[in-house]
Amino acid sequence: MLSFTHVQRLVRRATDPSGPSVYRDLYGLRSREPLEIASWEEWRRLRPITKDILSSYRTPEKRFLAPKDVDHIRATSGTSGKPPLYSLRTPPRGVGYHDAYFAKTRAVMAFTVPFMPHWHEERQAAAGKQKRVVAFDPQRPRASLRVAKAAGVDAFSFFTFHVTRVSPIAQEIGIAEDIRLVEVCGESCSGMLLAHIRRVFPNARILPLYGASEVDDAPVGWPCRALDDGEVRSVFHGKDTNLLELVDPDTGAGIEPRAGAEGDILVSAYPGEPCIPLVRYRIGDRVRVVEEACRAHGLWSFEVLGRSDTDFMKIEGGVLRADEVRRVLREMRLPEEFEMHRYEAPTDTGPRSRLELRIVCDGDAAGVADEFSTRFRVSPALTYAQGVASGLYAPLTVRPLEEVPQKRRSFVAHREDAKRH
Amino acid sequence: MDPHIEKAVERARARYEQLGISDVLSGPRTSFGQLSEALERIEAQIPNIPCRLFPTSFDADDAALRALPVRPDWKWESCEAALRSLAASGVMMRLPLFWQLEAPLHGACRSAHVPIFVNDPENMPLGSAALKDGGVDAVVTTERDAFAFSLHLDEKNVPYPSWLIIHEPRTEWRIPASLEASDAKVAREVHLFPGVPALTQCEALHAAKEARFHACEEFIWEFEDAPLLTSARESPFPLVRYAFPVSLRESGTCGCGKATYSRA
Repeated sequence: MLSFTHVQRLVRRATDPSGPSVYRDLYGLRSREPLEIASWEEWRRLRPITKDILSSYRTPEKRFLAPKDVDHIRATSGTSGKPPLYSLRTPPRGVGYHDAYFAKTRAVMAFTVPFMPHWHEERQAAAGKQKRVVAFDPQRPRASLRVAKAAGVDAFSFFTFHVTRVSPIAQEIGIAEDIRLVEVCGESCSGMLLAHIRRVFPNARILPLYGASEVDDAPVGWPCRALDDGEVRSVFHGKDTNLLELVDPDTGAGIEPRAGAEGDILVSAYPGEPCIPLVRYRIGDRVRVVEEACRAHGLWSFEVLGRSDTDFMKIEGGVLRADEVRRVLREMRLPEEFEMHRYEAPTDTGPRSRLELRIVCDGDAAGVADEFSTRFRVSPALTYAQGVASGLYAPLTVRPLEEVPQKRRSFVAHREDAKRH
Repeated sequence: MDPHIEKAVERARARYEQLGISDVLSGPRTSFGQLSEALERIEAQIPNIPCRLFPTSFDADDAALRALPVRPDWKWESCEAALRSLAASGVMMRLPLFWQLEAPLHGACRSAHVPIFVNDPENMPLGSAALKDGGVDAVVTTERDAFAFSLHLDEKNVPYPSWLIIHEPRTEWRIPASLEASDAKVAREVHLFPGVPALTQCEALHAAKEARFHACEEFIWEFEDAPLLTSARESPFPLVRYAFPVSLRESGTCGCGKATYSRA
């Protein structure tokens, strides 16, 4: 966790008048000096920065390093309906845990998330190992896995929803039992998905990762433990290179990390030279504290409950967007109020997403479901109906919308276990 | 036989002996079928061979796709040179990930001191947004995508970036007319397999925007009835008189002093 000296340095850097004005604008600073904070209290009074604020600046306007010092650029998907946020990245920090887990692996098949293939190569070289990384192409998984088999891949690193694309092919080509490590990011693994991974890759440890595309100091947390032997909760700690805080989602007031406490997470990272320093950056995730001091590490731990922002939900192959749902309902001349519920449907090759759309609809529910599926896009290149036809999703159903006393959430994810891992 | 080629062939045959595939690759030339058979035979050895791997097909659905081992220290130097010539300050990769070019392209970008942005080719809106707001001004992509993406940029009214276009041997080696007519800088290469440049361009050829290329010096070229390529250096899996899939003809000498070639 960052010390007070570190955060002072971070604030000074972020508000230096010779640098980008992002934080000076945020704090309303007019003086020609960087901001000096004298206490944690002053720190906690600093207004959190959000994705929307960062997105309002073009990349050159918020870059604290020269382009030559930027290792790579990431983007949030851009399919949430909001403009994509371009995140400039320097090499990851605080990933010693990662090296320890991957030390015993020989070759990795990796998507560009959570870590770029080139970064996996760099870590292998730093460990004195032969560089052996196969880039995973989710649009062409079979071709990727054929190269992976030749490479002797025994570890995977990709999104949770890539598992069901990879697992049947890995079984078919005979490498499933060779896999020693599966690192997954994005959504936490559901109980159904964990069971599937354990069945298909019986010799693999399962390592969860908590990151965010826009955070230079990714991952945000490091896993307290691998998901071994029946463990179902993805639990994380903050890193030495960042500072994590919990705040009330409505008031912004700080929340002590006591067991069971829930709140939105803020991340601040880090001393040194980041491309874009994060000072109390609000990721948009809701977390719950698991332990105030875990037995293994003596640090407070948390699990990620989901997004605070309910205007979109990630799904394999794309994103479910509230404005896209409304667009289609409008075209179909239906009322635009809705809830979309996502369930997991078990199949032989792992869980598939199944959507249930709840709307005000008097007509033929099956017909409405078919037409909606055909029109509804989960990505620029994919409709839900196309996803069903290709086996990516289970068919969508329509049900009547119920009255609810609280504020309606656009998207609700259901898992077989009550807790969200 | 030219002594230079003879030495290279001898070295390659010694390597085939080590790999136990001399019987497959003993002929005067190597066909794609023989190459595939040999690669299938050595596949179980590959985990123990220090190498980088590239697929032997540009088509993910090709049942004949195998993994080709190349030197582990191979650097995409022609790409680095192209990025410098294009004066890129941010590079977007729109190549299929299964081509295994992310790490080599990142290496070229680091050497040229520019960041890389990997864009899923299917997500054109994100790609065009990166050109507007993401600090990206150069794109590395395929011939087919150059046509599709430039059209998308026209529709979105986004100015063209600089381009490095990777051609496959059997494509037409064309670029969109709109690109040709524009001020956008275009560099091009023809890869034998993804990640294996066979024909490249210098800065003078970039400026000309023609489908004329230099023969890559990773290979010793022989121009018989078909162009034949032999690996010029030691390699985990050297090629010996591998038939380039299309015929070439000489197209004069470039301002840089080297011979140029185009499709026959």
